[in-house]
Order: sequence, then structure tokens, then C-alpha cells
Amino acid sequence: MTILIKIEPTRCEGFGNCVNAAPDIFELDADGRVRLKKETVADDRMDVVRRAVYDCPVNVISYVQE
Amino acid sequence: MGIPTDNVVIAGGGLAAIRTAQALRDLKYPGRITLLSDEACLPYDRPPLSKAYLQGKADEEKIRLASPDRVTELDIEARLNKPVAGVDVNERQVRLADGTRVDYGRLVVATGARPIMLEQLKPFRNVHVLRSMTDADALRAALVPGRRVLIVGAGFIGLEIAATATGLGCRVTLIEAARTPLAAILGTQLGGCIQRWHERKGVEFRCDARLARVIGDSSVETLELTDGTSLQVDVVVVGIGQTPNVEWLAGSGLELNRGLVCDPLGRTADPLVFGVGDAVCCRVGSEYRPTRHWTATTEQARRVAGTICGQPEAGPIVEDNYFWSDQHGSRLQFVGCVPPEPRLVWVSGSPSEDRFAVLCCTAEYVTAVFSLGSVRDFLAHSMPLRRGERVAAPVP
Repeated sequence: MTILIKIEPTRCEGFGNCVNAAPDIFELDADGRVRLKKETVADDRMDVVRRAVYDCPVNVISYVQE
Repeated sequence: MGIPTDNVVIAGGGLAAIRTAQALRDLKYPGRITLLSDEACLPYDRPPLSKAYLQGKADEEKIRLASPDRVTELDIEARLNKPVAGVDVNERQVRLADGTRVDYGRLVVATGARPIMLEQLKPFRNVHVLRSMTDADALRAALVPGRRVLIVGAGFIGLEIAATATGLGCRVTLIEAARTPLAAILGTQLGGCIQRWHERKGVEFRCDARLARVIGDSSVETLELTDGTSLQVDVVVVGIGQTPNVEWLAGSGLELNRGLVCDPLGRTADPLVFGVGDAVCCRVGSEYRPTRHWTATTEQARRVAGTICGQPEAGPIVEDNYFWSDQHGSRLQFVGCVPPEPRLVWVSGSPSEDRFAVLCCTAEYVTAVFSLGSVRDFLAHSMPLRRGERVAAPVP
């Protein structure tokens, strides 16, 4: 199984907590908004994906397990 | 160890409570989850209460942490207006203020904290604190343009309210016992920068000063300070810190020390009782550390849910002391620990500008990063510290 990550960049405020949790998955663009480096990751990354989701103060990130 | 199928009762109705419930469902916890909240509404986010909500730019719906639909979807029973009054760990029951009892299989203590009030200001009508949405509603009604607002305590909450009130057209004075605002966290050099920035925006400060005398009938009219000044006021706000809501646990046998004492995984000495958020004091070795920040609470919520579900999260516990604030339309961000007598290295802007990023260094290492209105510079320089790496100080 894999995890599909979804983001809503227009509501992002650039806290960077997701980048801190998983720098290989999330990055900030030139405007300081979240951007995905990859949309799907393997199941064994669930801990860091959850951390990014829970640590986002503006609830911009969600995921589905496929 | 499999996932237990008995129920989880979460005492509390804020960020710690809802994040724990969400994390339990994420981990496929199959049992009942009951939230016991002393508030009248579903869990909401507190940081906006001193900013967008106080400005009138965000309403209850906007600051909700979970919509009613989401709560239903997660199958969480949210019992509102149900303050807890005690716990019997032998009977595994929580006692509510209305006298009813609630059985638990696992109990998560997430009752948060409340603002500390100054005794001498207690009797007066025009004195406010800010923790709940009700507090914010009352304060917002009082922040009428032209009113003289005096804020006791120039910590983050005091500075945020000062910025919001100034933006709403109030005349704001902050009084602070230390030499500068935020001195205990940022040190006096950076604290001084923040003070001058606020002064440029119209906020006045009386530092090195405390309340000496309160004059007024049912409302405070004049405040005399220890530095001899006398201030006429319309509204008073007290922002001098918080105290954990754990009195209800007294006599339960659970260890209390500036909060419910838990290990870094949120466990107490009772295997069925856990703690998350501002009500908790974390014991690491012989040290006791109160929970202080939003991200520390979300981290604890995930850990506790993992522990309850028998799937403790791998990886070290991040205690990066990260927090943010929004004042005068700019974001402030901080991570780390400022050393005594820090060497400050400005990586962008300067102290006299309205945006800058600065490294706080010992002779050898960068130990903290602070930024004002510089989200990207902060991210670039704070990442290694947040990962717990050692960063050599730039050569002077």
C-alpha cells in the first residue's frame, strides 16, 4: 500500500512544520507556500506523514491510504 | 500487543483533546471515544483568539479544529458543558461537576491551563484575561477605538493583544516587570528590538515596573506603578502566564508537579492514565518541563495515541522549542534557546527594520533563530536546529 498526500497551497501560511517533519516530501516555493516533492510515499513513512498533518497549524495537508 | 477495545475518555475539549482523538482513529482504534469538554462549543484553535478572531476577521467556524461533520465521521462523542471534577483510578471513573460518573478504559487528561489573575485586580469589571472564546468575545467588545488599554505582562499574549488593540484604534500601554518584553525567552537585546518595533507601531511600554496601587470603584480607573507613574485606563488585560487545570486530580494518587507528571510518551505511573497538552508536566530524568507550545501538544497527542494503540511511534521525541506569533501583520518565529549574553548575527535585515532574521550564538554554536516577517529566512536557518543538529556559529 502507498500513501497519497494532498495539499491546499492557497491556504498555506509558510510555517514550515511539514518541511521540518519530512524534507524529502514537502518544500516551500518562492512565495513560502507548500509544494510536494512527491505525491505518493510508501506505507512505512506513515509516522512522518502524520506528523506533517498534525503539526500544520492551518490544516492544509491530508492523506489517503491507497 | 493488539489494540485495546475498551473505551477512551478524554478529559478536555481543546487542541490536545481533538488531536488525540484524531490520532486514535488514524491508528484504527475501534473503541468508543468520549470527549468531556467544559466549553459550550466543539474544539477550536486558540492562537487566533488574540489575533484574527479578536480583530473580527475570523469567526467560530473559521477557527474550529474539527467541524460537526468531521466529529461524526470520526465517531467521537463530544459531551459539551461537562467540566470534570475528579477521578477515581481504582473504579476507573471520572466524576463530572454535575455529579454523574463516566467509566473509562483509558483516560487521557487534556484539561489545559487557565490564565493567572492578579489578586488586586480580581474585583474589577473592566479587567480581562484571554484563553477561551468567551474571554475573546468579552475583550473584543471592550476594544472600542480611542479607549485606553493597559496590558499587564509583555509576553507573547500581551504583545499580540497590544498589536490587535492598536490596530483597532485603541491607545495601548504595556507594563512589564522585566527590563524588556520577552526578556526571559529572547534576552534583553532582542527583547529591546521587539519593544522598539512595537513603539514604531504606536504601542507604549513601561518596563521595570509593576502595579503598586489600583484605584477605582467597580471598574479600574487609575493604576499607579512602582516607577511612580500613574495611568488612567478604560480596559485592563492581564497576560502574565498560565497555570495547569489539574486541581481535579488532587487526591487521585496521580503525581502532580506544575501539571500532571508524564513521561515523554505521555504515560503516568497509572498504566490506564495519560496526559497531553498544557495540563502536563513532562519528566525527563530528574527535570520537570511544563508543556508550552502548540507543536509540543500535537506531538504529545500522536505519541499518546500510539502508546494506547500499542504502536509507539518510532524516532526521537522532538523538543525543538518552536513557536510563532503574529503581530502588526507580521509573523514572528522562534526556535531554540537563547544563551546568556548571546552574540547576535543578522542574516537578513537589521534591528531597526520591520523584517529581519537573526541567529543567537554562543562562542561556538548557533543555539536559537528568531525572525520577524521573514518566513523563508527562518526556515532556511532553523531547520538544522529543529532536527537537533549542532550548528557552528558563523565566524565573526
